[in-house]
Amino acid sequence: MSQRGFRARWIAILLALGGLLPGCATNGPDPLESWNRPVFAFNEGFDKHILEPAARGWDAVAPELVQTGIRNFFDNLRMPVTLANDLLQLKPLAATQDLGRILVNTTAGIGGILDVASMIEIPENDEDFGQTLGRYGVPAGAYLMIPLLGPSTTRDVWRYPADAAATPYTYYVPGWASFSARVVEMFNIRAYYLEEVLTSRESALDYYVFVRNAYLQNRRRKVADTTEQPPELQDDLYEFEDDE
Amino acid sequence: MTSTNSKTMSSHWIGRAFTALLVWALLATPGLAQDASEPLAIVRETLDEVLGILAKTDLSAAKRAQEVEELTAHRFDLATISRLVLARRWKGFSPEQREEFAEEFGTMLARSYGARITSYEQEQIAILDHRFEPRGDLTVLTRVVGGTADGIEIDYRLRKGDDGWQVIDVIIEGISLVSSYRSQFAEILARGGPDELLRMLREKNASTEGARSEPEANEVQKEGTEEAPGEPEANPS
Repeated sequence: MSQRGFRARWIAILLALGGLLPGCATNGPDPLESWNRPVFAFNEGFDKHILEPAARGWDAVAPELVQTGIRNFFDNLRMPVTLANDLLQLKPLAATQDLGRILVNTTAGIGGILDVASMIEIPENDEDFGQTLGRYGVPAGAYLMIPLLGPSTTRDVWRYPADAAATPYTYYVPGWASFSARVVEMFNIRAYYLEEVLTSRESALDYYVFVRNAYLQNRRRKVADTTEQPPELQDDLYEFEDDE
Repeated sequence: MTSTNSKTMSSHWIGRAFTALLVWALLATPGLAQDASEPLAIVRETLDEVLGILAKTDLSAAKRAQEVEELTAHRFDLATISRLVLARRWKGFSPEQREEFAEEFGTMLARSYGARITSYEQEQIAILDHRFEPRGDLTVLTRVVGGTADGIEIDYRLRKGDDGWQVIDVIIEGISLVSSYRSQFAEILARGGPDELLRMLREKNASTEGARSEPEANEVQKEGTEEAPGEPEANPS
């Protein structure tokens, strides 16, 4: 099976999952837990035995400057997706900033390796199709763990096919090349988070629940574009439930 | 204020009613919460002191962690945080269990934050804004500047209690510490109740004991250092 074929099949599976799952009744914080737990265990195993050791090796040999350059390059490649979602969410200021980033970093930043836009203080926005759906009122849905890709929800999973469609290079770069690039990107980004993941794993009592809670909270903040929590959530979090 | 002759009685009446409403709103707000200068000053001062300690790179990470812990101990309202984290499960805890929980949970929090000290890269923290919240709380919005954590948003939620303004939650990139631990503890409590949670916390803290006092490792090895308070029976291991 060619890589392109592999990807097409993969997207088809995701679409099928994303289309089926919202039909499930959402009872409790994690109705798909019996699917999610084993996938999480698989992802953790993959990370501990393959990804993390490889990222440690990469971190040891690649100078900081090279790692940053690669990170910048892939950030810049993904900016058209952000831009498309800025536009879908009718955010003209963010769209202008992100268009500016693409233009500046692709030219002055030598194809995106240097983040010149940040040096001249053009803010970077973080948008994807899951956030766009959320912005238009689609609820987060059920928490969903995806093999290799990590935490998502039955709403956020749509970002993968939609954002891939909005990524220009997927149309002219051969499948094997973009797959190899993804692997390099994965090792590189994992090297960036070596210590962060380590301390999170150590400080959590239940790492699965920690990741689920962190993902859902972080996504809610990204969709709302504010850290201010809605009143019902505030009542739940900060009101003593029983005053003695 | 000198009110110019109002043209009609009704506008005069509306003006008075509005003023009365304003005064009422101000008085009704608990603890005159509309003045944020005191909690803001506390947050700024604490951040500066903590950053000052972190910047002392000639000290060991363990020593810096200890100094930060001592400095910030009274800046956090651990009793309130414990209650919020346990939420409705709080009722199922006996007074002794509540006390032990606050103790162990506090130790765990201090250690997990202390473990991050080695990754400090001269980051600074800018206070961006603040927001008044229900129940008289105040949220101070900050952002990390510089280093690998550049741009990370950290909110501190403060509440005024008997010991003045204290932090009751830390929200990093939208992820509330109270919510995070509440969800983890809820699963453990549903499985094994308070005893199981306390056992897991003790176990966790015992496993990080050595990591904290690494430079003085020989002290830890001394016998009798490891106490098991209120646990007459030997640990089955």
